[in-house]
Amino acid sequence: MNSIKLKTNGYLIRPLKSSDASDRYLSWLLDEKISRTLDSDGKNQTLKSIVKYIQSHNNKTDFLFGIFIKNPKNIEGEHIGNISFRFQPRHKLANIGIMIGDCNYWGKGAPLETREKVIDWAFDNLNCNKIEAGCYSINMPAIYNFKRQHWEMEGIQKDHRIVENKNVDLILFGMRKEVWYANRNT
Amino acid sequence: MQIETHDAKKVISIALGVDDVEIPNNASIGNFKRWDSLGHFKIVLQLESTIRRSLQTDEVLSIVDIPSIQKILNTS
Repeated sequence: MNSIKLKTNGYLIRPLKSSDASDRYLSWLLDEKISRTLDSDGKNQTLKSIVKYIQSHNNKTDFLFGIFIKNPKNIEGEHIGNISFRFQPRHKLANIGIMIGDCNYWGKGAPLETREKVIDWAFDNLNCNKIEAGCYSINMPAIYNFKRQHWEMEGIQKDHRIVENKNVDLILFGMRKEVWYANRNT
Repeated sequence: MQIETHDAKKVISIALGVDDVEIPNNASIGNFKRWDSLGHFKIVLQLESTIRRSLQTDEVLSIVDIPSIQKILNTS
C-alpha cells in the first residue's frame, strides 16, 4: 500500500514519508490564516511533531497523502498540501480531510481535483461504502467544494469550535458510494 | 418573477463583478465559471451585506443557485 501513487491533470498524490517533513510544511501549520480552519493546533507544531504525525499513519488503513505539483514527464514538484484519509474496514467507512498549505494554489480547484482522485481510489479499490468529512462554517471555499462534489450535509454541530474568539459551527458531510458514482462525471 | 430573478442576479453581479446579462438564469455552483470557490465566498458576503445580517449556517449551506439566493432575499 505504501507505493500508492495517484495522478491528476495537475498533481501527484502519494503517502508522505518522514523525509517530507520540511520547514515549508511547518510554515503552513504556523500560519494562522491556514490553521484557523484546521483541527490541529498549529502554534505548537515542530518538525519533530510533523514527523511523528506522518509516522502515525500505517499506510494500510490510515494515510497521510501529500499533494505535489505534477511537472512535465510526471516529475514530482513542490509539496502544496495534504489529504488525510482514515478507513475503518469494519464499518466500510472512511474519513477524509484536506489542507492546501501553499496559498498560491488557493482558488485553483486543487482540493476538488485531488480529493476526487482519492475518493475514486477509495471507492474503486477499498471495500469502502461511505466517506465522511467536515468543515467549519466560516470556511466558504470548503463549503463550495463539498456542494460542487454533491456531498450530502448530514448535520451541523452548533458552536462546536472557537476560532478567533468566536464560536463557529462544525458542518458534517457524507459521501455514499452510490451517490459518488451517480454524480461522478457531472 | 423576472424582477425576483434580477434581485438575486444583482447580488451575484456585484459579488463577482460581472454584468447581470452575463449571468445565465440557471447559474449555479458547477455550471457558471465565475462562480468558483472564491466567487462563492464573495456571493455570501454580498448577500450578507444586502440583507444586513450574518447568514445562519443552514442558510449558507442552502446557497447553490439563483432561486436559493432569492429565497434568502425574500425571507430577510
